[in-house]
Parts: sequence; structure tokens; C-alpha cells
Amino acid sequence: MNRPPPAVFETPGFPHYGVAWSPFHSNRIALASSANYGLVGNGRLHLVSLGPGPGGVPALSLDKFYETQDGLYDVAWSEIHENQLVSASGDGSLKLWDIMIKVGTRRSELPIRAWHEHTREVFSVDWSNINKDQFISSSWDGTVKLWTPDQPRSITTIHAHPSCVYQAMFSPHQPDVIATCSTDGTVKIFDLRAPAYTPAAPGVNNFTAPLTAAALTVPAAGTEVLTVDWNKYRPFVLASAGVDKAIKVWDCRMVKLGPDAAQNPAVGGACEAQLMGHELAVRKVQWSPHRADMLASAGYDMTCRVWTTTPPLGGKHLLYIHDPHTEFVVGCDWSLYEEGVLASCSWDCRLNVFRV
Amino acid sequence: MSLPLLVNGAECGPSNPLQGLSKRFDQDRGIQQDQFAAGRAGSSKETFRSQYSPAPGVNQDAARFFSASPAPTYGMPPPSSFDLSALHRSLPISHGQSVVHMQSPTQTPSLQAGAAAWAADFLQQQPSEKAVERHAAPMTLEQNMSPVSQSSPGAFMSNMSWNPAMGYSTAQFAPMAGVQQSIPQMQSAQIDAAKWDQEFRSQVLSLHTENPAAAAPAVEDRAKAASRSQPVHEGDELARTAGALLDTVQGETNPKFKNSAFLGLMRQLRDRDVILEGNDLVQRDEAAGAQAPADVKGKGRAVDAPTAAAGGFMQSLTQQPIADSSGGATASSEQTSRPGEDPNDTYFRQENEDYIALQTRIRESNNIASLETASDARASQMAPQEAEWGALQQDWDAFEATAAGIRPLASYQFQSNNPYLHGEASRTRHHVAHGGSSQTLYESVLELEAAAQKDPTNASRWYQLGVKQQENEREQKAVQALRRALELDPTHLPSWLALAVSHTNEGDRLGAYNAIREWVGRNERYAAAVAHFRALNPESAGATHSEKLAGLMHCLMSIVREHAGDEIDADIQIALAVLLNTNEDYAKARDCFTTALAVRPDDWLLYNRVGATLANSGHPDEALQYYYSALELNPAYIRARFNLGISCINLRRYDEAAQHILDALVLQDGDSVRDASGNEDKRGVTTTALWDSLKTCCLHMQRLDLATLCDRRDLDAFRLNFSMQ
Repeated sequence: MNRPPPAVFETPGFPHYGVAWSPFHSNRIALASSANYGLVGNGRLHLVSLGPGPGGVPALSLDKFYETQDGLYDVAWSEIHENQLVSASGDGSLKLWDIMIKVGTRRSELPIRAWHEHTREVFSVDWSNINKDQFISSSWDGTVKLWTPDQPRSITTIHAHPSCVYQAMFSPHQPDVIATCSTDGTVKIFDLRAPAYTPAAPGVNNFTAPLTAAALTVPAAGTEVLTVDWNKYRPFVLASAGVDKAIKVWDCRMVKLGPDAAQNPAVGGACEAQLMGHELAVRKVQWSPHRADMLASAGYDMTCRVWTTTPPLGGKHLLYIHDPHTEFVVGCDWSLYEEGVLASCSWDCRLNVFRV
Repeated sequence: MSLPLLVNGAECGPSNPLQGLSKRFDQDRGIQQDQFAAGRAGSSKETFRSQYSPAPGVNQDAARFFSASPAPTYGMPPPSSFDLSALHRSLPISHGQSVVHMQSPTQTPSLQAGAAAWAADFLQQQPSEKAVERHAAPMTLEQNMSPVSQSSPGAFMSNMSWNPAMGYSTAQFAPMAGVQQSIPQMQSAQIDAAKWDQEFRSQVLSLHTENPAAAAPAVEDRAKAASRSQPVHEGDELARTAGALLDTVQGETNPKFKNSAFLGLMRQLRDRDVILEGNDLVQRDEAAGAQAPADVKGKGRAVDAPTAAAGGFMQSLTQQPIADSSGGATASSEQTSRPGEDPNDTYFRQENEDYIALQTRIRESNNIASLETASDARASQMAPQEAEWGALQQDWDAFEATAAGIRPLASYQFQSNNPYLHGEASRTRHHVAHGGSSQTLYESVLELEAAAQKDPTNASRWYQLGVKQQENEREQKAVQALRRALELDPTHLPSWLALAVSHTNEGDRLGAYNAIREWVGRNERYAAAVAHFRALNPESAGATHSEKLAGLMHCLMSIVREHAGDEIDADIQIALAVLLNTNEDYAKARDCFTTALAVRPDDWLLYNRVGATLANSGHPDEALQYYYSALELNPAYIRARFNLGISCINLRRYDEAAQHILDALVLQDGDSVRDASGNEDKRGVTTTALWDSLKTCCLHMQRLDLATLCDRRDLDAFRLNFSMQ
């Protein structure tokens, strides 16, 4: 197959941590990056747009960037305001940026709002596309926090896991339902309407071990689960992946939601497919916004892969391998406007946009 | 950025960064061992089936179903995968540091000054500072506490356990406290700087030079001890973490990994070519230059400037460490410098020695001081301070200065407060009664650790410890102990064999191969046969790993064949079986083990290995009887008990499995030691793999409450709740 080469954009000195397409503009991409691979040093939030390049081939160009004092680990666009986006920092803070409003000096522009409640690295942010004024953040401090841009403090805190929460995602179908994944090898589904603290079981003390009861706990892997995503078409179907190198698709329709969810914590989730192929840990999975059976994954084996969950008879799950990255691939995001267009970002400081 | 998990104690916290990494890299061994063959394909349509391979029948269907996807097979590198948060964890909290920098009075002058000016400034400031310093220790402690106590309770704990800020402040002030206690006549604020320094220098260098002109080197020496102590320590952690990370990807054949800039950086970190300077990673020679990190926009000017100044110090010292012989420090470094040593290395080694000597002295004087001022409020401040020093001291002692720089000694961490260390006299029933475990029949890990500590150069003691740790399901410690044994005596054959077993369990095929190769190569009995075989089958240089493995296997097989008439050598059968196991050739491996078993019918290790081999090849039901046999021979054999639990899980006998794993945990827990205050040092005593399996078991049993207790590693509560059902 003869594919056009990917459009490439480089940010020398700033390895990437996250990438997100704008939900409002078909050609805008935000990139979260950190100097020194996020070990120490500053971060940068890049705004990149895809436009016609020389010879009619699409090319990426930098619109602007913001400097931050700590590495950036994730970024999410606002679903309600086309110029706003929120970034997750290594120092535990969240920052809301408006690309049209100038705050600060020309050389160091500032966010329009910043929150600092997490006590450790914030590793993911996700904006709800149902309650469009809400977003969530997940942190290594084990909590997930719900925010709205107007409030100076978080609305709710969920003590989701006893250890690092690598990702938290809003359900695209149900308001107030989120999925989280963690070091402890579980994926959990929480209903935000349920009270944050109910004794999970007699004899469990919520004061010494504050953990919010999950509506459903999925024992997804024996090792760390680094990423989770909701299928956009099939309610309560999730994909998870992590250190065990497998991408697993979970049917979680047995979950019981509602305010009482926390009263009857359940364990379950039926694994309906397991996609093997990554040679090292999988860092990110994302379902296609256009097709119910397609997902993309990015991994430490320096590849970005595209999979189908329903291969034709005798066919393979694996559809495509994007191999040009030369360092760990840490993020991927499907274009919301053009089917089959994927952006992948990596520690080689390159953002690749390509058609699958 | 984050650091707190360096030592231990926080939620996601491994007991050290290495362990954290290996947790991510190595798959859960216990599970893997049982799951290896068919479990890869893993899932079936059922709930909960993703972790453990189901019963054979179901399993084969599933395996066939999923084999459409490229299943990892023969030639694949060992399962390793990772996340890098452990790296983050080994980094200091930079904002925490900046607070301290700004507060510590001795650092402030350096903001604008170069190295020489800094020293001069320091001298001038002495008189005025002295009054402050009388109370400096308690005050600064409080100041340093404040940022910590503002954070949440959880973070507080972890910050306390290893805070660069804390360590730093003690490094600054503890020496002074010692000095002040030992020279009570220095009450007056008018005593001149030169004399103070003189006194200080005598503490530092044990050289009673009366020449005030030589004061400057002493000040430098002190300042460098203070400013370098912490960064070096951080560097060690970072370097070790980077090294561990590299070890896990060394099996990668993908050329991308060879060219990776990130892995290149890790290599440099490991080799200390790049070090952490304030808020940036810099080349070491660059760091020595007084240049500030390139990117100082935004945060941390206050951080950058002092470190840059300290860097300037280093430069002046490294450039002329020997040339200037006026100071005591340089004189002594001249005496001990080794021929052919790089000036940098000389500097580090010298400093290391000075620092240890200084510390010992300070600790002594601190002890006296706390005795004298027992009623003083300061005495209470001393205790945590001393604990901090103790920890630092231990860290330092763990390093050995060599011509190539500083390298870690055997990374084996002994448990503290080991009662067996106090000699034969203390070997009463006391400890056993405390633990309430069944370790009376067999030597416990603590006993063997004490033996190794008393006689640290005896390879066979380390070997015994290693094997015991294997039995107790602590693979990492076993490997460390065995490595140490082999360092001491590379010809110790049983250690090589045991190491191969450990590597197999960790899924490290290359390690297992190398160990077996060493074993057969060093085995005098087969030397002729090996030489003969190698002459016949020369190894090509470009042979892939699997070719090499096959070659070695043929070599062993030919030896076995040649010696077929003689009496059976169990060891070579075991070696061959281990290799076959790494190759997932379970049927043959089992034959080898059973052959060995015929010669050594009382070897419980062999029974367990046969069982594990059976379980790995998808026959957990048949494995059970072998585990039972092993446990009959040695009821305290934790690994066999754990394996028994795993097989029960695979047979879906969850209640039984939970009981076995719980028993294994209780046995492991018997090795924990209560310290004086009654707190148990649980670090590394019980194994994560066991807890994880137990948790999965509980989830299968629909006992969420018990699973929560597993997360909290609360053995007592678990036992209580489990037996109540």
C-alpha cells in the first residue's frame, strides 16, 4: 500500500506527553510537552495547526506556545469554549488557557485560571462532552477531581485508588459516569452522583483508608493499567491497556448506576477481546470517534498501532502499524472531523499526523 | 516534580526505586510461572478470566482463538514493559529545595558571588552569624517543617521519610551543633572567624593547623561537604534507577532502542556523565563549570544560582586539587591519591572518605551533646536528626570508592534490628515466640542474614541466604544475594545454578542462559567435554540469542549422553531442565527434573520445580501432588505454598487458593522484626506478588472487603476477616 508520508512537526528539546485535537476547529491540535522527558525542568503547551503545505501536501505549523514551570503531562480542549484548553502539570496543578486572551507579558503568557489541589503529578485531564462545563483530572496522589472553569475549587474529589491514577475518562453516553485506571491493576467505574463516602463493607474504616466505593471494579491486569477509554458507540464497553502489553476490551454493561451505586460495589467486566502485539507496555488507547470497532494505541515499543475488534474471518486484529517514531510513543488522538486521521506524539519530539 | 517515594511508605511507593521499576518490568512471577504456556492468550468469554489461565480444556480453545494475533513466542525477549514513574520518583522535589536554599543563611551570599568571593563572604559573615547559629538547628528545622506540614497528611509522611530539604538542612547544621557542644568556651559573639574556622577545621580534618591563612580550604571543605552530600545521594538513586531501566531493555533487538536518545540519556545518567543540577540535567564537566543551566526562564532562579555557585566551587577544587598543598584537605588527598586516578575521581573519593569520617565524628559528638542536654528541648530535636543521619550514613556506607568512581556495594538490604546479630547469646526462643511462626525447625532468613553480615566475605553464606530467599518467594533479594556470592567467589557452582533458576523465574532468558553457561564452563568435571563440544561446534559471533540457547542445550545434552553410563549427576539435569524451561519445553524439562529427583528424593526444591513445570505446561491438577510432597518435606517452603495457591486459582478453587497464599504470607511475615518502639519494619518482608494474587483471589470470591485489605497489606485484619467467614 502506498501511503503518503505523515505530516511532521518538531518541538526540539520538548518530548511530548499528550496530544488533543480541537473539537471546534478541524485543523487545530494541542500538544503537552516536558523538557528532559519530564524528569526535571519546564513544560510547554504547543498549539499546532494543520494547513496546506508546499505542493498541496498538508503540513503542520506552530501557532503559538506557552511556557510552564513544570512538565505538562496531558491536555484537553474545552467542549464549551473554542479557545480554551486545560493542561495537567507535574507539580500537581491544572491550568486553563485561553488562546485569544493575553495575560502576562508577551514573553511569558499566563493561564487565565490555575488550580492546585492535587498533591502529586496530574497525569490526565478529560473534558466532559455531555456536561460541557465540567472536566476531570486524575493524579498520582490516587484521587480524581471534578472541576468547572468557573469555580475556584474542585467540585468533588474521588479517592479512586490507593495508588497512582493514570487516567480518568468521562463516559460519552452517561453524564456523571467516569472510568479510571491505576497502578493497582484495576479499572473502576464511578458514578459521580453517588456519595463519595459510604463504607464499602463492614469493618472497612473510611477514615484511615479513605477510598470511594466504585460502582464497578474490573480486575483488568495483574500489573499496572496505564490507560483506559470508552467506546464511543457501544455504551459501557471499555478498552484498557498497560504494562502487560495487552489491550483488553471490556463489556461492563452489568454495572449498576445511580445514587445507590456505591452501596452495592460489584466486581466484574467481561473481557470480550484481547489484542496482543505491542512488544512493550501500552501507554495510550483511544477508540475511533467514527467506528465502533476500531481503536488506536501508542506504546513504549515506539509504535502506534490501529486495531479492529471485529476482524473478518481469518483476518487479523491489527490493522496498521505506524513505525516512524524513534522514541516511546506516548499519545495518540483521532481527528474528530476526518475519519481515519490520527495524530501521534512521542518522546522523539515529533508530532505525526497520518491517515490510517 | 515528585520524589517522595524514594524511600518507602507512600501509597504507590515501592520500597526503593529499583524495586518500583522491576515491579513494572518483570511480570508478576508467580502468575507468570503458572500462566506461561497457555495463559498468554488469557481471556475467554468469561468474567475474570483474564489473569489466570483457565482449566486446560477451556484454555486451549481460547489459545487457538487468540493465536490469530501475533502471540509472543520463542524468540521474543523476556516479558518486560514499563512505565517511567519510578524515574520521576527518584528525583527531588525542586520547589521544596528552593525553599531551603533561600532559608539557609550560608547559601544566600553565594547568589551573586563566584567561588572565591563566596569563601571570603563566608568568612566575613561568620561573627554575625554565630549568634544565630547557636539556635540555628531547632529554628531551621521548624522552618523546614512548615512547607511539609502544609501538604496533605499522606504527603507528609512520605516527605518525612526522605526529604532532600530535611537532609540538606541537617547536613548544614548538624556539624555546627557538634562544634558548639564541643567548644563551650565560645560563648561570646566577639570570637573571631579565624579561630572558629580553625576549630571547625580541626573537627573536619583532625589536623591542628594553627595557621589562620589556611582557613579558606577548610571552609570550602565544609561547604562542599554540605552542598555536595545531598546531590550525590540523589544522583546515586537516579543513576541506579536509570541502570535498572537499561537492564530491562537490554534484550531489545529493535535498532530503534539502540539509537534512542532517551535511552542514551539513561546511559549517561547511569554512568554519571549527566547529572542532575538543580532543575536541569547537565553534562558533568559542564556542571563543573560555573554556568547556570540553559533554561532559567520561569521557575527556580533561586534554585539555580546557588547550585551554579556550588558548581563553581567544584570547578576550583577539581582543577587544582593537588597543586595547592597549603590546605590540610589537599595534603591528605595527596597522601591517599592513587596512581593513574582521574582528578575528578580523586576528588569524589576523598570527599567521600572525609564525609564519612566527619559524620562518624559528628554522630559521636551528637550523642554526647544529647546526653548533656537531656533536659534541653533540643534533645527531642536530636532524635529525628540522628535518625536522618543514620539513614544517610547507611546510604553512604553502601558505596565503595574505587578507582572508577563510587559504585554501590552489594545492593542487598539487610533487615534492621535483626535479633540474630547479637550473637549466639541472644538466640533464645524470644524472637520466635514473637513471630509466632513455625520457623523453629529451619533456619530463618534473619538467621542467615545475620550470618552473612557477620561474615560478609563468605560466598557460601551468601549462597545459603540466596537460596533461602528463593524459597521464601523473594526473587529480587535472592538474586542480589547470589550475585554477591558470585562476586566473592565466581567459581561457586551452586550459586550459578541457583541464579539461573532465579533468572528463569523472572523471565530473564538471557540471564538464565549466561548463568548456566558459566556453570557448565566452570565445572571441572565437564571441562573436557565442554571444550570438546565447543571445538566441534564453534559459536558464530553473530549468533542470535535463541541460537546460542539451542547451542548450549545441545552441549549439555551431549554431556549427559556421554556420561549416560556413570551415576546420574542431578545438577546437570537441573541445569538442562532450567534451560528447557526458559525455552518453554516443559515436557522435556519435567523429565530432567524427575531424573534428578530419582537421585535426590529428599530435595523439596526439586518437587516444587516439577510441580511448577507441570503447572506451566497447563497441568495444574497434576502439579498439586508435587507441591504437597515438597511441603511435606519442608512445611515452611513458602514458594511451594504460593505455587500451590496459584494452581488452585487456575483450578478455580479460590477459597483453597486464598488459604494457601495467606499461609505463605504469614510465613513471610514471620521474618519481620519489631523495633524498639514496637513498630514493625515491614519493608520488603512480604512480597507484592503474593498480595496481588491474594487480592485477585478475593475478587474472584466476590469479597471486595478482603481485596481492600490486600491493598492495604493488612495481614492481621485479613486473617481475622478471612477466618470469620
